[in-house]
Amino acid sequence: MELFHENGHLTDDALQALLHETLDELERLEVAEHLAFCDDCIINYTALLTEDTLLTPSTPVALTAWQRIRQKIRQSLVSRYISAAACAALALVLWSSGIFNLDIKTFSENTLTTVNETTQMISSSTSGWTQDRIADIQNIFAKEEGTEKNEHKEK
Amino acid sequence: MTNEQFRDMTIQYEKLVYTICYQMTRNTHTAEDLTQETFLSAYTHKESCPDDYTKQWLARIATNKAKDFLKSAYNRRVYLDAGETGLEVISQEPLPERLVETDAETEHIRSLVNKLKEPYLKVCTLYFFEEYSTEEIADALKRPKKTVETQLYRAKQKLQTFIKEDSDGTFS
Repeated sequence: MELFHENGHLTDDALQALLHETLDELERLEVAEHLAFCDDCIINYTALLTEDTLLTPSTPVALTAWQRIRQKIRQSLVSRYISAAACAALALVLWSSGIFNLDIKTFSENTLTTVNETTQMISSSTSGWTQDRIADIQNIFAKEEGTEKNEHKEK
Repeated sequence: MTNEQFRDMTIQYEKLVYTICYQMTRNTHTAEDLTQETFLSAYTHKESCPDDYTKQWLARIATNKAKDFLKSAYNRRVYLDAGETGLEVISQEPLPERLVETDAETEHIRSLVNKLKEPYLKVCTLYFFEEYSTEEIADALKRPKKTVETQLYRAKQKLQTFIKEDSDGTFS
């Protein structure tokens, strides 16, 4: 059986053999390599994948994939909030220290004391703020999960 | 594409992606893993999904995932099966490039190359007889350069096997 035409495209025999699972490992690799870049052949292959030929996975793969995606979204949002909070805290500390003023020749004891007190105050308030934002995000996703579960029950 | 639309898409095309992954790998657990990987990759690139070709777009991603898996498994199996003896024998055989010195040797190599089937035949013809580089072969045949390099590598292995069979034939 020829898998490829002279022009390099897959033969009908090749696609049928793929569908009927009669290709060996190397042949499947060769077919996969071609389908990975050939638009014409991928269109021909997907046209053969009609509803009656499709297989059903034993576990709900789409649902599992979607849960992994949501976890990634959550992690991304939390890390963005933390980064933003850290930047804001740093900017406030630097501003309090007077580093943005033009005249920064002397750093008096009072200024250093102010910086230390300000740093401690900002650190305790931002950690509380960050925790509150994390709780908000978790509540949003918990509500979404509750809504999805209700929809699933209705179905 | 919103997250809700993407979620609906995963439900709609779950069987299609799984079927492709299974037909390529013929293993249910691998197919399930690759199906998940396909949707994860699709989510990362969801903005590039063409409107009327969602099915083909997902099929392309699934095929690429399966291809990478098959390639890794095949390479591991080939090197394990070859063992020390196999690799030594293969490496001792001269590479086809080194044989093309006389007209007779050229014809000999041409006859061996003509034994190859596509997708290796054209790649080898352009490489050995037209002296194309892999970039030029990729342009001429409209294949990715990496695919051409892989096909050339496999073709050389097949040619070395032909050369070895020829040598054994001469002495037997």
